[in-house]
Amino acid sequence: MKKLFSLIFCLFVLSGAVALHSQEGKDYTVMFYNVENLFDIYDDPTVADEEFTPDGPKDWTEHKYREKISHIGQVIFDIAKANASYPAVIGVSEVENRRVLDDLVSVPDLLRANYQIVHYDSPEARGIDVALIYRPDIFKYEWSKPIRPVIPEWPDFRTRDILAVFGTIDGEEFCFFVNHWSSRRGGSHASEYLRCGCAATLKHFTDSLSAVHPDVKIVIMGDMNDDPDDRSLTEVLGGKAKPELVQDGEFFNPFISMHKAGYGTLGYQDAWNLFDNILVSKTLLEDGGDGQLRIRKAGKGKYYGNIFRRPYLIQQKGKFKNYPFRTFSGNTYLGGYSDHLPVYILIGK
Amino acid sequence: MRTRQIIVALAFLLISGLAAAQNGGIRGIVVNRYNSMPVKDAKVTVFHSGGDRFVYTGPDGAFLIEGLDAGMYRLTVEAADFFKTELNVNVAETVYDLMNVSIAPDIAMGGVDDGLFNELEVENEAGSGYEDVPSVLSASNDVFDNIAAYNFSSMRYLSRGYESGTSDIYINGIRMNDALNGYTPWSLFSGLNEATREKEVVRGLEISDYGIGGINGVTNVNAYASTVAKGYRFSVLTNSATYRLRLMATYATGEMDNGWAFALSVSTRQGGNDYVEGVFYNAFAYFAAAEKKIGDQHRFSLTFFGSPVQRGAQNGSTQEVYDLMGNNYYNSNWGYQNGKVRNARVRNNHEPVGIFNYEYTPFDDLKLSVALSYRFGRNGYSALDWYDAPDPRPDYYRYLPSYFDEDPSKMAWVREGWMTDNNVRHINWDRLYNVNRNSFFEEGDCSPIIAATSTRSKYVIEERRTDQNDVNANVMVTKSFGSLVKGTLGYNFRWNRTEYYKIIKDLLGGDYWLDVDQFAERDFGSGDSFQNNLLTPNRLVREGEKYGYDYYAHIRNHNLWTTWTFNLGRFNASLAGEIGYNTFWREGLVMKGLFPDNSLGDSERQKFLTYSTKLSLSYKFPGQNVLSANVGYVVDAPYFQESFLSPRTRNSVVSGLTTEKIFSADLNYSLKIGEFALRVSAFYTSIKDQTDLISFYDDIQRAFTNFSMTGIDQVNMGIEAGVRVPIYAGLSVDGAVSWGRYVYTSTPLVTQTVDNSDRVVLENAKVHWEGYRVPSTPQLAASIGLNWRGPNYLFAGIDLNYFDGMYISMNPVRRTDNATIGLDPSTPEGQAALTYMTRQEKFPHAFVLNANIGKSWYIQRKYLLGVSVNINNILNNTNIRTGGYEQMRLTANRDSDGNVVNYTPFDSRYFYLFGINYMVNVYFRF
Repeated sequence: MKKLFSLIFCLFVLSGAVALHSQEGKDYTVMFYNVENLFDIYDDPTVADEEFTPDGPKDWTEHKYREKISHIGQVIFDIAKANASYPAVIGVSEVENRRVLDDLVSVPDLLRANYQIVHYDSPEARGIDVALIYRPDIFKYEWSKPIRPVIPEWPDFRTRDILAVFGTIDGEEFCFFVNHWSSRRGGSHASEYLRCGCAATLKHFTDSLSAVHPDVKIVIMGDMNDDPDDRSLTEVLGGKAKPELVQDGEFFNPFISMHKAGYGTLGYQDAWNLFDNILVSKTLLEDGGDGQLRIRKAGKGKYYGNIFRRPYLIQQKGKFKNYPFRTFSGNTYLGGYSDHLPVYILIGK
Repeated sequence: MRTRQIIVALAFLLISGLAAAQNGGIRGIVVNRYNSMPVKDAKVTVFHSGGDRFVYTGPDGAFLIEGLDAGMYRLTVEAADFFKTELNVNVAETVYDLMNVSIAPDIAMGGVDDGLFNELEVENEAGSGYEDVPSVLSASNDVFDNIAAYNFSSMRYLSRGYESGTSDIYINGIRMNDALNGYTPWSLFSGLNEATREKEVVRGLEISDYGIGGINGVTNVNAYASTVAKGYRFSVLTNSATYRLRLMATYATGEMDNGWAFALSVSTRQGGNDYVEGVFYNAFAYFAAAEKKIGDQHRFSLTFFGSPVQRGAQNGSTQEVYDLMGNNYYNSNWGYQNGKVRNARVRNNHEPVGIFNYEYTPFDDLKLSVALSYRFGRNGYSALDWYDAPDPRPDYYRYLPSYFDEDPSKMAWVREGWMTDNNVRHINWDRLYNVNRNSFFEEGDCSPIIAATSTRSKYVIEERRTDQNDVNANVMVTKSFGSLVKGTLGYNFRWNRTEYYKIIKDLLGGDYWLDVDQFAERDFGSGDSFQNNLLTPNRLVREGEKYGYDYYAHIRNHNLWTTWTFNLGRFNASLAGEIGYNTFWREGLVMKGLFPDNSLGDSERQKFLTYSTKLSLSYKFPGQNVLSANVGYVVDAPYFQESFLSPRTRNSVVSGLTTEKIFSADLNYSLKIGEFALRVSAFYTSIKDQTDLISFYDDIQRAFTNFSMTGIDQVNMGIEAGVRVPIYAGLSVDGAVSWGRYVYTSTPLVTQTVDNSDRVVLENAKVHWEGYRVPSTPQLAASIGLNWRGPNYLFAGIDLNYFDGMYISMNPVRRTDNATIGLDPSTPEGQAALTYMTRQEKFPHAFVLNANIGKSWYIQRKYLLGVSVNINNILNNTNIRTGGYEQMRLTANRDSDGNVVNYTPFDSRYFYLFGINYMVNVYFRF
């Protein structure tokens, strides 16, 4: 009797456990967020960060810094709530150093995820870098490296390194690339070659990587400073609008069709730009090879890509109504979030 | 010896170099992420090509690794029961301080998400059923509005042909349009460009967040301490078409950590322009604002600003005068006094405004706003006034050669005077002073009685004043119901008391002026009827004292309004309604001799019920592609200024005073693809039952006369289109076209009264101007330009503009039956005269070419220095008529018995576009 009881009890628990763990509907969120100038308040003598110090023109005080950290943490937590799961991987750009990332992952609502940080200092003049944050219970980290974009026309040019992070999820090989390509200063046309150079450097690396790891699932994310249908992302990097058009070595960019539909992540001169992209390799597509993890749509959504919006992320009034609610406009503190909206994709079985 | 020194120096260098190379290091404090407590005995390992090194953290969690070469290092931090944490550090010549390195406790992993997110309300985004659709961004003017604002304004372009008061201008949520005539209040904050830069604009029939709006858009200027850009801004500007120098300085703190914000701005505008003599600016402006935020819920704000301006005015002249002067910019308002230019018509305004705002936002979706404003001050416009003396104005028709067309030798002599003599061409101030100094009082009544040696001015400078006291109190509540519906309910109250009066500004060398109605005196001889104020008859007036007329306008407006917006994904709808109750009346402060029973005290109170309603629909197609349609019906009360027959003299109200009814609809399409932008709009507006009052001195009646028109209907319809086509790199072609047909569609009635008599000269005479065009604005305006945005913040542009369909402002009397008596259409001369009397002049079309260039420099990542240069009318065409008006006078042609045979109109007066002119602006910000 006791044995039967125990058996039933075990089955109960097991079924419960199974119910908990057979998460066929549970997808992993992979997001990217340009957080707009997340600097600490300390003056780093090796970079030009004086603008973001309490004595600088922006009056960047502890109070404002704490508010910003709390805001960015709030966005990540809200994306977690929207998908009923802490994001597995978070790529960020415009962070000054590891300290600010440490403060970000220490936000109380995010503690449970135990986020780990992958970050390298970039040679960029102002000191802003890219970084990757991951959940150690989902992503098993193996190695990482910063890749220096090479611009053939301008060998001495320095911009943000591309961060490559290799590891496994559910036993399947993944490599994440976090980018922040050169800005459009000087004109989008005049500076196009800089972003093409970044794209070419990245493509070269992904080709080499795929040669050694043919089954690796590649996820490229970042603030490309170009729209999804611009040359750098299509001709050079090989981003395609539809999964069926993706050849080996090329990528599916779910944000191309969203861009055509008028969506954007950044407002500029009264038009939306979609600079924040996430591209995936053929190995993450339906018929794309080994393993079970694939890029998935969110619920009944129309697109594979997602731009996260909430009313608090958007300016509700004033001249810049409907633009993303940013932290600064020039030196004027607005107390918002970022001039970019976060983007994410879902990967699941 | 020398070699040794070199070796020592080199050795020193090497050692210090080595030492420096070894000066790098890494320090930090390892803490528990969950409770920020230091973690002791954590193993910190640095992976080094020369051999890995490790240290253990002390009880304070601190660690220090020194003696590292410059380079990139990988570190790990390991501690029992914690996740192994990996870091990368770039070491330079010093010890890099990681500060806190937080490590996460290695707790059992199961259920990171499940328990937590099942407890919380997980927001299911896909559940709303409506796709999240890209919103429309309109921070700046679109291509059409931008071109209209910069390129069309010099030709007096009116948006959609609507007159000025049709646009609503709000400041901090309060509608500041003038209570007496609805005019837009730009002059209240002229010279405060930096402080008022933040604006929310909707155009045409769109519904605003601050009120239902009218037919010509709503602009809300956010002039709070927190909306002025933080930092210091300076600018220096010169404009050869307006004023020589403008200096502006602005400072704002932005929102500070303690919740306070302050802003300050001051400016001055000085000098004249290259074209019109006598026109000058002596203007200042000031702005101060403070704001306090308490938490996220309460915001208090106080803003105070004013724009004291002294400005010399320009007068339009007839073509005959311009031709005599050889200059289309002749200004008859000035003359030389002691060799200096003195303008008789000077505006002198100082009308400060104080605004208090309170905003309460208890929840994200609920907001309560309260706004209070007070506007006060002085608004004065000077002019020559004269008594028992020849008209002092140089271009008075009797001083022109054309008056002597029956006497060629006299005509030649007058012409000679115009060509050579400044005393003929301009006001002869010296003569005016001389006359006054030799004008002794005759015996007779005056109060007080004074010496016979006193002089009584025959010429004076009067200043007509409209001093307002205007109070507004607004309350508004906005609530959002999810992301689907947003509703606002508001109540606005306006209280206004304006005093209309005039004072003697300058006695021009005399001792006194006598306060009597000179026209009545002439017509009625002596007696009470020629007193301006029976309460103080024959009063002597000194400089600065009131005379002539004095009355209050009292206005009370109540408005209750509501707007509702429905966001249904791609489809959007908005509904708005407003009801209002307007009352106004005149209160005379003097008892006019001619109207003893109808001047002092309150007039009959005028009461009007007003209402308006609007519907807006829009659909967003995929891509940035929006189609919208708006329709509205507005019933407006007439304004105080057009409602009284002769407001300076009596309380009589215009008969048939009624509300204005406006029906308007528009259709808009906008498209953006990359840098390509297009917007097309079509509109139709019908305005019925407008009222207007025109006052002037009538030669035929030989008195001040008033024309009151009622039943003025018009239809404005047209198309606006603007496009930007990117060509290559930063080059784009920008074009805009505004094609309109603005016509009068009724036969209004005109009633003419005379200030110095009870007589009604014309009663409800028909004005046959149906089908005539609405005047002034070019009904066709087109622009095509090339714009270039170059590298390093350099920009340049050139644009060619074409204007046509400009019509003269009409004298309604010329289209009455009375004006065309004795003109026989069956004879060619008669027909010609008839046409000349009734036709509306159309100005010739014009081409105007402009260019601009500018650049800014960002210095040391901190300072911004910029320059921008505009050159307008590069072709220097000085024969472009921008506007003009038919004079209100008619010449009566009499037969030998003195009976009127027929009438001839006076020559019209015109304004011309300035020839080539430039503006240079230098600005500096940090």
